[in-house]
Amino acid sequence: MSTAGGNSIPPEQLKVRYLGTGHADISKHEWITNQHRDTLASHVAHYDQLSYYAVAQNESIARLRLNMLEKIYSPCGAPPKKEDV
Amino acid sequence: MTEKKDENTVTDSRGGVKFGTNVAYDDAYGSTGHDNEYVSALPTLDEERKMMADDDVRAREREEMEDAGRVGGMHPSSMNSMKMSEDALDGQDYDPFKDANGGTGLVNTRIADRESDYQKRRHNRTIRDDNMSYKDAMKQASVEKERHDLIMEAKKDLLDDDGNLRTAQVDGNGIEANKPRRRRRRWDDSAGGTEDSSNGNAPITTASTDKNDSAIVSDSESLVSRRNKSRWDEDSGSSSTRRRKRWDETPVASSASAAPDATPLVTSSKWDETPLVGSGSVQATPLVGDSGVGGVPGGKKRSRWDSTPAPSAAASTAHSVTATPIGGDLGKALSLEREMETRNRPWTDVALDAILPSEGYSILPPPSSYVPLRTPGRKLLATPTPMNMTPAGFQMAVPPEDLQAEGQSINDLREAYGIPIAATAADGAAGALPFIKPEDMQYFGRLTEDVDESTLSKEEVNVRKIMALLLKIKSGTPPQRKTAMRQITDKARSFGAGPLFNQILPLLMSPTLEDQERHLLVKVIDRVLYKLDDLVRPYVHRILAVIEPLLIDEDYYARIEGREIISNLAKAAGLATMIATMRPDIDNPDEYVRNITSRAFAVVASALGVPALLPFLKAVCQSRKSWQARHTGIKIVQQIAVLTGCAVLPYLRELVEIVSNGLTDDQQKVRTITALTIAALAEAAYPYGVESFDPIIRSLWKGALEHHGKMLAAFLKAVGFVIPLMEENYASHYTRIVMPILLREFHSPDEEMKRIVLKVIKQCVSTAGVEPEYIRKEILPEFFRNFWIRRMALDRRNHNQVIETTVELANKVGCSDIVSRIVDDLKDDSEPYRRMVIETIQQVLENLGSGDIDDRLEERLIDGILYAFQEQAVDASLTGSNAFGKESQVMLDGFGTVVNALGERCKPYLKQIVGTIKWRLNNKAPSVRMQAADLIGRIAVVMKACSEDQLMGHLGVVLYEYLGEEYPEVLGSILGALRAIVNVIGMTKMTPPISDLLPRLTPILRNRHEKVQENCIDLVGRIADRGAEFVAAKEWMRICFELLEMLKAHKKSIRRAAVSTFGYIAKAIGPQDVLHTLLNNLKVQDRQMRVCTTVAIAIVAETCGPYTVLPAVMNEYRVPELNIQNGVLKALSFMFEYIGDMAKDYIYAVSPLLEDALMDRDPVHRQTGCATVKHLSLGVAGLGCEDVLLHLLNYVWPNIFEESPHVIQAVLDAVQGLMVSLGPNIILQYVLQGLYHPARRVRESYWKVYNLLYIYAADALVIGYPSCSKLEDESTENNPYTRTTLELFI
Repeated sequence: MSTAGGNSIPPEQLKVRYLGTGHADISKHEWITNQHRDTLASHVAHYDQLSYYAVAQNESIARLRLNMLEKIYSPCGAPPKKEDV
Repeated sequence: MTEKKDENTVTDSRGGVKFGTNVAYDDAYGSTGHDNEYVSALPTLDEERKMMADDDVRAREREEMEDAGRVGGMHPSSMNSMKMSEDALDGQDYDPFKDANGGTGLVNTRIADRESDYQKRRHNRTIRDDNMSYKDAMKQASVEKERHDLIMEAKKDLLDDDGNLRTAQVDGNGIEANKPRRRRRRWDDSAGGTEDSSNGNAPITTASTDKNDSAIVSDSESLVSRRNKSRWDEDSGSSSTRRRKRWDETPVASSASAAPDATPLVTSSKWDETPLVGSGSVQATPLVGDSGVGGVPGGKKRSRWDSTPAPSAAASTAHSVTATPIGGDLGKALSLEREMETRNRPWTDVALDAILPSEGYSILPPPSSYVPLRTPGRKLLATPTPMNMTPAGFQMAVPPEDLQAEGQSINDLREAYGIPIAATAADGAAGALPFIKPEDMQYFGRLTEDVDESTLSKEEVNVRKIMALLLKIKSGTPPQRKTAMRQITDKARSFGAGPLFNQILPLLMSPTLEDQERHLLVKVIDRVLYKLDDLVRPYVHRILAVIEPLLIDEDYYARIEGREIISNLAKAAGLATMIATMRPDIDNPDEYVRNITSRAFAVVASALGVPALLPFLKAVCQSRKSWQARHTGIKIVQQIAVLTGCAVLPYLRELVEIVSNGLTDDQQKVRTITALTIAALAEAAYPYGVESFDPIIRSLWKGALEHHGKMLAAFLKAVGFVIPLMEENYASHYTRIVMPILLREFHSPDEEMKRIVLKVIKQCVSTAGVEPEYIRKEILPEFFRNFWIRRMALDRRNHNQVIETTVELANKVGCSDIVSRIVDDLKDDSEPYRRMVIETIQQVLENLGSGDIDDRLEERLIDGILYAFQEQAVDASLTGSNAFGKESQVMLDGFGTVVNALGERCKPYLKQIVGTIKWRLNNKAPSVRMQAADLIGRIAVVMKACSEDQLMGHLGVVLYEYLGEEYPEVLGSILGALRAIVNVIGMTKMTPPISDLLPRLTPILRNRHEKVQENCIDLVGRIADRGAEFVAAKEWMRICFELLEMLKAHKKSIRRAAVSTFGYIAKAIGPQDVLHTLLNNLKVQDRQMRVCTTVAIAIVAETCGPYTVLPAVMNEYRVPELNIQNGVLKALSFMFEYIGDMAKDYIYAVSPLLEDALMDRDPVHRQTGCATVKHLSLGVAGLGCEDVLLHLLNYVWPNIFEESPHVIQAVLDAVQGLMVSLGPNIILQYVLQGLYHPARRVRESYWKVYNLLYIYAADALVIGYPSCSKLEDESTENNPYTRTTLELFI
């Protein structure tokens, strides 16, 4: 989490470089959304996992991959209105 | 042997000195100061040399400026100028503090003082109104141009061909010819009134008479001024361009009456630069002597930038039409003032001679009581004048500070000088302002007035605020500067562009501006630009007028800064504004303006993209109206090529097309610049893009065939750069066409042409299509006849170019062809020429080896090089302890390369070579001894290859005897030579035996000189590594103690060598004793010493096995002293870093110690503990130590709340190390506890660790994230938080 010179990366840059990073004021919804995205991306990236789920769900691998990729857009739906979530 | 040497000392005049006798060694240390100091952080002289040579861009730009003759004084702190001032030391009357007179630093950092005449022309530029429309601007530009043309015409009538005034026409009397000469003398001029008339016959040209003036004043003075561009320079000879320029501005009406050439009041002579401090009489130096005409108001020509009103209300001289810098119509006021000034200039003597009858008038001597009036402000700033400068009768008034009683404060003094007193921090005023330099009073004076801010208008308050901020930035302390910089950036938009630039820009044109100040102000502009964005548009012209000159500054970094600003300006203002602003300058009659405008345009092009500028460039380059516009347009293309390099490739075709018409232009200058532009484009495009040049190739070659002189040089240059882009057969075809021209131009006397011819030859030859046979027959004979002559070796650039080209030729025709032609010149009489030969042979042999050198040639080569080596002159200036110069280095490299290239074939000559070396080792001059020793280092490997062991043994003994050398540089080289011999000959065969050699080295280890230390420790380390058994353990222990001192050497390589030597010694004599010494050393105060000791302990642990060291080290931890405990921890940390996975055997042993360290109160302790955990955990990753690592994690974890940067960094490093060895998910479980902690600061720390995990192991975390199904129940239905896939199983 540091630059070549040893300084830490400022938060904005960090966010730009690594989308999934969080901060002290992040909402649970946003955090969990990131978790979902990472999870889906991980599944898509690992062929063995994908094929495992394909067998489990009786779907073709390509279909499953497509579903997952599409789900990445909004895995947990819109953020809830409530403040504390 | 010693007896022999004694004889030498007595008999031989040049060599042979017994050590320590006869030579005065007093100057060995420190006499030349700066070279002798240790170098800790800054680059050494050699390194700086290398840096300067390596930097391609810089060297090129420098050369370009040299070509254009535009290099002014160098920056006084640069290497070159230091050398120059050393040279100046030879002259009498050298004033070591002379440089300190300008600016605030130890050297003169005032920019105006080192500007060349060309650069000074920036002051002559007309500044247009801020809000002038494009139409008006163009109109004004064309009016100016017309005026310039008219003046040029008028001048043609008045002046003869040499630029002299046609006095004969006016006088009509030859006898009176010497009269103007005497009249010219002004009383406040330096020379006395009782002038001898011997100078009366001097030619009337200003340049020469001025020179005579200074010659009268004092010879030494002019001597100095010629060497270092001092301010006196500016009045003498070289100012002709300025004069002409100044003339340009003169309104046509007055041009007929005034004598143009003799205006002694140059725009920016040193005296004009004296700022206008408060008093109104500043400009009032009266011209009493000018026989009644002196009544003409003495309006000296002042640069418009000086016209910022002086703070005092008393400033109301007739000529100072006060243009407040704040007003929007600044430009108008300025041009009005310029007009007034040119009309009210003082009459020059020549002009008076021209209009007054020569009979009936006599020139009166100055009254004896006359004392030139100096204003108080001037006196304060004036540099003390040497006595021989002042005319008789002139006395310095007693300065006010001497009249003041002692104990009075600075404020009293300043009051005496009429400087308003600024509110200072001591006064307790709210806005504690920094000290205002007297020169700056005209800009910041108003801050010192005590005004009630509530009575001021909003604008005035605004102005005062900006003024205060700028003052803080310009002369404040770093913290003041920092806050002021931030404020001015933040408030830039509310201050407004106008008020900001109205104050910043005059400051940047101030004649007393210094480097640092300029840098800061430029930085302000940069920051402000960023904030103001499009609000800058109305000010673009004025900003450019100030920033553009930076583009041709001699300081590389100033050029970079200038580029940066202009590119930001272009981005803020947009292309349309930039073009509209700079268009009128494109056909400015002043070449200077056109030059900087073209450079600025190139910067704009690289900022906004070349394609955006293409239509404009096309239009400009086809301009029918003026050739200047076409010239500038083409020059813009050239600059674009230079600036963007290979990035021109996408637009190459368009750019070539745009400039193509210039090759056949009517104007010679346009044709020349076009050819140069094509050269630049081809160079930038290399090796691609030849097809883009197709349309112009015909006219290019036609031009090369038709033109002569300078034009031809430009065309040849273009041809030279285009040929390497071509395919083989085309290249060879065109080479054949161009070769006759080149051969013809071999004879050209023009140096520039010679260099270009050489360069083109090199480029042509290096293409694949040219046959060696052709080169041998057609080129070589002529080439060697014309260029391998002594004269070429004298100029540095010729010298380099000849070598470069010859090496390229050798690559084509082979080594022996070239070498056999020049090898006999090794015995030439001229030393520079011999050096040129050696350098060439060296490079050729490096490239091609010695394969095709036959026996005869080999003999001649060795013979010649031995001759050259023996005949080289001793560096007279470097007889001190300095390193030898570049010349000796060339000789050394050349000799070394030849011997190494010949390899075993050297065997017959080695005896002779060694004889020479031995002879020179005994020379009186230290640099000769040093060079000889260095040469041994170079050829040792070859001697081994020739199996001349006996000879080497002999050399070893000789060198051993020379270990008493007094000069450290030489001693270092001798040690280096010994090491080289030991390396190749081996420990057993070494003579003197190692057991004799090493005890002799032990005392040398104490030598503080860096070079000695480095070579000595290398040699000792080598012996410890390979031949430790030859020396008694006791001796090694002694060396250990000496080595401790070396642990704090400044140079890293020395510390590294010392530390590894500890390892070798420990291996040789067992770790106990060494370790004991080292552990004791942990008690010392010096931090660096302790750090290096810990490294040494770790190395000992690594070489002898950790188990031999660990018990003692851990035992040492029980000493209740912070430094020692810390040292132990650090040693452990290094040890674990070095031993890697061996750590798994020791981790359980050290964990109690680490527990203790991680719970310590002292944060540094915990920090070091964390560092140890990091290395430990990385070492044992995957080796099944998770249990104890988890245990350590529990101790590390609470430290994540640390705030000190070093500590938190170490903690995070430890966590990261544990993440590797334990897996990220274990850490994640720790992190999850605090991500949503109610306290924000806790959350922050936890998220920091979370992000760390996420960045390094996002994929692995997928299975570790907590299940959120609980959360789902609470929230709305449409948020499926469960990650269902993870629950699937078959």
